Amino acid sequence: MDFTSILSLVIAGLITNNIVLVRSIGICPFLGVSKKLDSSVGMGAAVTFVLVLSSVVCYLLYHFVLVPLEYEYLQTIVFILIIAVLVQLLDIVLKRISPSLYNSLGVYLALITTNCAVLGTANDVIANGYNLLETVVQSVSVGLGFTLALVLMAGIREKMELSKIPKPFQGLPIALITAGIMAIAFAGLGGMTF
Amino acid sequence: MSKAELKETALGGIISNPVFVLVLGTCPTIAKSDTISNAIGLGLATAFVLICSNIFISLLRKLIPDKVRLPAYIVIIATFVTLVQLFVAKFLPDLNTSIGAFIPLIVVNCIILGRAEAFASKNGVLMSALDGVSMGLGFTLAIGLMGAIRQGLGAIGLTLFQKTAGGFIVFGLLMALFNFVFYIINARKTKALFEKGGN
Amino acid sequence: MTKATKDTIKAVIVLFIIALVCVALLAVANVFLKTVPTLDSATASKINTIAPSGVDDATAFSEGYFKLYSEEELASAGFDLKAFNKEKGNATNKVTAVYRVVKGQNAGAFIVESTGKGYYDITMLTAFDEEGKISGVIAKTQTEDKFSGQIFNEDKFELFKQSVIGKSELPSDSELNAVTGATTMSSMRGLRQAVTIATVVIPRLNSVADALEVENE
Repeated sequence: MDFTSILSLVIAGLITNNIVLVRSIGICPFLGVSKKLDSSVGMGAAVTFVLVLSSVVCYLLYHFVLVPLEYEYLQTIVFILIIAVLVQLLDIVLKRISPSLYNSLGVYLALITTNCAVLGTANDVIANGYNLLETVVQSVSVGLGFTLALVLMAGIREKMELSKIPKPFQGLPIALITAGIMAIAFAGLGGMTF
Repeated sequence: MSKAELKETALGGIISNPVFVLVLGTCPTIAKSDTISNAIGLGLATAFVLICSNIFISLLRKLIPDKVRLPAYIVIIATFVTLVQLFVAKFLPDLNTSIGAFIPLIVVNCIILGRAEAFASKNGVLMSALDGVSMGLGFTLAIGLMGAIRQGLGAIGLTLFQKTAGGFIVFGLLMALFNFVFYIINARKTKALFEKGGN
Repeated sequence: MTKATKDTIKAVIVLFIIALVCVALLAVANVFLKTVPTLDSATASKINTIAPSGVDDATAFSEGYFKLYSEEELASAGFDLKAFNKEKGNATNKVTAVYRVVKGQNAGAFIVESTGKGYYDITMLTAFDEEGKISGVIAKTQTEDKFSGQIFNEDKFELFKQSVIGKSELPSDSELNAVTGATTMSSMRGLRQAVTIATVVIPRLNSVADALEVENE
């Protein structure tokens, strides 16, 4: 497999095609969890885990079950159910091995199911005709890109807690505008290709 | 159902606007509000799925056991989303080219699952349908408004606003505006109550 | 069996039934809502560009200069499109339609419509001459936008065309990359896959060419 194309996938997922700041997918958890730095890292890790597992499972199911049986139109139902099951599994596993992370994520753990980035990446992998290796690389880079966006946002929001912001802007509006400015920065880096 | 409840549900799309107040379904709002046609297209597709899923989930609410209610809702919602996917691919190929990738993502639009959980699972079919229409239209109006603003700004040369960054900024500004308007309305209401009470 | 287990089993059964009903509904919908290739005026104009009939687009369309073969017509001439796709195609590329110029200056020429997946779906129309060499290629649908523009902007696509026209096979990946400067990770891949499978199907079509109708009813 071509090294430069793998590298371009990674750079794209992390920066030039960052799922949150360039493609604006995965915004809900981005706005919800990015208030604190440590929960952001935890969320990013959880999402990356689900992303990679679900992309691989969905890829295998699509190519080895849905296509041979000509059930491609069931893609949406099957994929979202797989994601829901994987998140449930993560819930059970996380409760046991890291109760502190489990508690800090709270309701947002279940909401990973509705994270557009997870279903979006599974769909992309099929739509762009990636093979298994590219699927893994893509889902890892998207997950890392998501985490990066989350962590950068949390850093800024933690600082913003201490500043005086006019009432209508408090909370989400100012967060959105901040995200917009970050997006400008990421878009500027968009010229990078291999 | 009382008239007050009916009114509350019907106006829910404006007063508890899913985009600016409940802050649900933000992904398509920013991603595909770059032109009016994209925005309205995606808004109406979402509204259709919302209305249908609300109706069916309400119809089946007594039959779905609590344990499996989320997977059941997801299957029902995904079915309607797939129907929309097939329909758009066949009859609206141009729309498919611009928003096609976002139609499957309607299934994870928090508005639909949110209303299913909060309303359709607890209310009758007619009210649920009304809620679907109200929230669906509220969403379409909100995303359409974003689309109009972004396309308008893009047309006069400020192309930043048609890109993602602009989307975030317009969204933030609109939300602040919404907050401000509600703040004023509430302040006036409180003042009126205060004055009434004082007489 | 405890009540809790009974409840769980009941719950799973209900879920299963709901899923079954939904899947059945979609299966029915799929039959009616499947996209089938049609020869509309837009397609006719594109075909007229790569396999010129000698008349303008509107006339070519209204006077039936081009013909779209249905799967039955191909089958009765001896070519099974579905089996071909199963054998030579896969999830990422297949031949979706076969057209032919039935009158005019290029009568007899085949135009193959095929899809590949690169940057989402890419559908190409490839025209061949009687010897099975590529005589023209044009995109039917592709969703590249200016941010991901790799191969479908004018200059790059020209370079692509120059390197494939007159050949019966596509040059290798690295040659194409070198000529066009596009990487294989996106629309270029879809484009390559679509045109490649067209070159694979053309010998089969040529072998049944005589058995195929050349008259438009």
